[in-house]
Amino acid sequence: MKFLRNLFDDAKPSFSKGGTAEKYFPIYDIFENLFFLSRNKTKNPIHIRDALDIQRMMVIVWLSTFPAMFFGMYNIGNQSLEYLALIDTPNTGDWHHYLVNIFGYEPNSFINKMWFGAVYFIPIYATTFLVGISWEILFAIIRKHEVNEGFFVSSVLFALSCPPDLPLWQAALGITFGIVIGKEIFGGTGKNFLNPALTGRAFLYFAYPSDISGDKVWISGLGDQMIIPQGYSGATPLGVAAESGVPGLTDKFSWFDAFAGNIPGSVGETSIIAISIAAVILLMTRIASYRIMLGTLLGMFVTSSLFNIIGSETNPMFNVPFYWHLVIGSFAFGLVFMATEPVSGSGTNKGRWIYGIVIGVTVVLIRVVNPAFPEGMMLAILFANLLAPVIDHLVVNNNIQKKLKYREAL
Amino acid sequence: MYNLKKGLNIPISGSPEGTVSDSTKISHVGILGPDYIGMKPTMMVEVGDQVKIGSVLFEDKKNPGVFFTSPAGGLIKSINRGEKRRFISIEVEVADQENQVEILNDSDEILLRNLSKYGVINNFRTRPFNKTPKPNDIPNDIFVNVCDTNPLSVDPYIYLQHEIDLFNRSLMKLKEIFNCNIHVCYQNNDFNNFIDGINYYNFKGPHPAGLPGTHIHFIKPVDINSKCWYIDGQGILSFGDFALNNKIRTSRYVSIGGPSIIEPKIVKARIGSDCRELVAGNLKDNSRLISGSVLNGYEITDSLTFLGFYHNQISAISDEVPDTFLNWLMPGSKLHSNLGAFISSWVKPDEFEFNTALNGSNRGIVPVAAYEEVMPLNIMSLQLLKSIVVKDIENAIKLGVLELAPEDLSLCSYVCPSKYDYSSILDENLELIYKELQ
Repeated sequence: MKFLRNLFDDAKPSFSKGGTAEKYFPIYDIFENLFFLSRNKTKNPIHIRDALDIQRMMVIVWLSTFPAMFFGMYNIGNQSLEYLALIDTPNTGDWHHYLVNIFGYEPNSFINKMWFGAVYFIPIYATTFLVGISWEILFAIIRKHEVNEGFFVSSVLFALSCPPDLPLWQAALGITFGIVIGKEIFGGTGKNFLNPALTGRAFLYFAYPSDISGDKVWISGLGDQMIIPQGYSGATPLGVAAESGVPGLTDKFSWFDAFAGNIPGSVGETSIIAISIAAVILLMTRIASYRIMLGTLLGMFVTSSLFNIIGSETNPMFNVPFYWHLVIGSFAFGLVFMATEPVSGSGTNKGRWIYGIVIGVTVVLIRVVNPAFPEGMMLAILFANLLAPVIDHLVVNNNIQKKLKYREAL
Repeated sequence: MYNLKKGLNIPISGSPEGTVSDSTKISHVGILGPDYIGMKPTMMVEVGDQVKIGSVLFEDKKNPGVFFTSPAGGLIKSINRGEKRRFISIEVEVADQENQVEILNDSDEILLRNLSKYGVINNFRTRPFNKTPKPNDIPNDIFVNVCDTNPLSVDPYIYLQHEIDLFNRSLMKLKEIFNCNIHVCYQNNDFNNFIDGINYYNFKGPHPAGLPGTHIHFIKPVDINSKCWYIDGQGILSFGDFALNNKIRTSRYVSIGGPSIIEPKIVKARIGSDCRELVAGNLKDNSRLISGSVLNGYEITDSLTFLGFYHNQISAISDEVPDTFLNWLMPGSKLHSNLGAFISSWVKPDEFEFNTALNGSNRGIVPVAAYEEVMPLNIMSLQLLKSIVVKDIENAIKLGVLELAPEDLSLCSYVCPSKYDYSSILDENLELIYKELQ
């Protein structure tokens, strides 16, 4: 520790004002902050400060994604090895094969499953992280400010929301769009009105629909082998539900499978258990807003129940009950990680309830009555992001009017 | 009774206890420029002049007719100015034998005039803008604050009860000369001195329940046209001594506390005391000494050594910031946070040893609900904070910025994970609004 401290102290002059590498101070700052808390001191008039800073806050969110991340890796391996065993082809059909082969294709080994998942997920995450942080540093250098740690969260959430078979160049393109268009051109973390991770994800969804939706992308290897055994489908439960409703769902998956995460889907979204762990962490630390989470659940519950009551002969989605909506698709993932992003969400306590309800209602609307997209969570949250300033405006105006009336009454 | 739920009592160690002791003898006292918002002095004395208690030292150029007088008898030792000749302080060396100028307040009319002439009016401040009142102004409401919820503060009733008779007679006199609404806000359950014609309110709850801004907001919120003044209990004693006894009060009760104070206590000290003299021998090494509270005070430095005119406390915290290795990973059992991001939120120590670490560096505002949790006022905190940061004063006025003083936002600064200083930003905004109105 002493050694590290000295190292930083020695390097600091060249990165500080007047030093040879003055321009690259943000890079130095990242590394110094990684190891040591800044030595900044308080100034008049406030002399003590809460110990929480943005760095710690973001790292807590980042760490809270770990259960979902590790389960996601396991699940990639689990789903794919099962499929490859089924078609009796110990080969993923692309460059991943050389890495997977180190441990082999044995479908019942835990280590093999984890390794298989890691071989798929870690390159996606690494690409996302490196490309994204390069953009962050570039903007920090040009704008002469520090790199905001919010990027840790954006990058991991983006990677977790991708299908395991995503080509790496698309990951790079997606996070670029998310960081640059979703955040940096508006001034960086704190000033973005859209969730950067979701912006990137939505960009990919509309730009390369065949690589990021449909039945073939959720199980690694399926897209490359193109052999589909009788009675097998790589479709996610949400895709199945859109086709054949609850009977189709229960035919292929048990509710508990979907709850535990033993289903195909994006890397981090399948296990409700892992996501619940994150929810508990985020709510206990009060970093995420319980108002948004409860609002979303409430909106989803009411809307889906309403559709259940109305019913439909032709659209099987009408009959999907709320407890299935909760466990399929990216509802839970979006609810805990994406909807609660504080900057793009509503900034008033009343507004946070409304914002949550808007998401809950919209996601079911898109899932049930929209023929084009099976998944609605991403679009629902982006829609609510756009609506958040309006919600806040109404709440704030209401408060101002009430106070005016109160003052007049005095 | 107002029972506030939102807010935060910061559990800082070193709170002083009950009894009042006399302070050590003070050899230097001073008047500080930064105490008076927007004040520009016209000096009426020079270094080396002899002054009495109550001798006029300077007049406010921006508020002609309001004078500032010497809190002690003796020799003008120095007049300190900072950058651009900004007035910082005037220092008086206290003589062994002190005399007071002769004052005769034999009618209410003369008393009203004398309040400005002898600087006693400066005990009052206006809301909005927190400035000293203009001479001849008559307020509609006066808020008397017998609360203090600042960290390390003591309940003012503990020392006021020794002079409760003077306090009550002063209130009656105040009512008589201004003939306005007088609101007394107290927090102590034993407070039982109620006088007819004066409104009493009991405030309970965590800080900022004891700030005048909070009281005014709940009882009679101000707007741009309000004529509202506020004063603390000790200011009332100064007013009373002047109005009833023709005397300039030279002492003030001050609580001394904090993790770096060896023996926390309450003392009766001279107004404008040299803070270093007050804590001599009672301060640990490598500490920051603060006039006022840790949430709203100023660091005692070589050029700013005196107790602030409106300050009821002196605080001291460690100025040593140790290196924290991998802070983002550590459980943090000794670090205080309002949100639950550290283990200390569940395994709670009774008190925390605070130091002067900023605990992070400046970032863009990420609106976690922390601000709303510490803001009991019916104010849209995040929107207000954002609008003052970008100096959108039109919007800020709508959101209620005129009801606030810098101290009202100090908890928002405290909990801010992006490490903004909203108090100073508020100051700039209020000044901007005041200028626009002229």
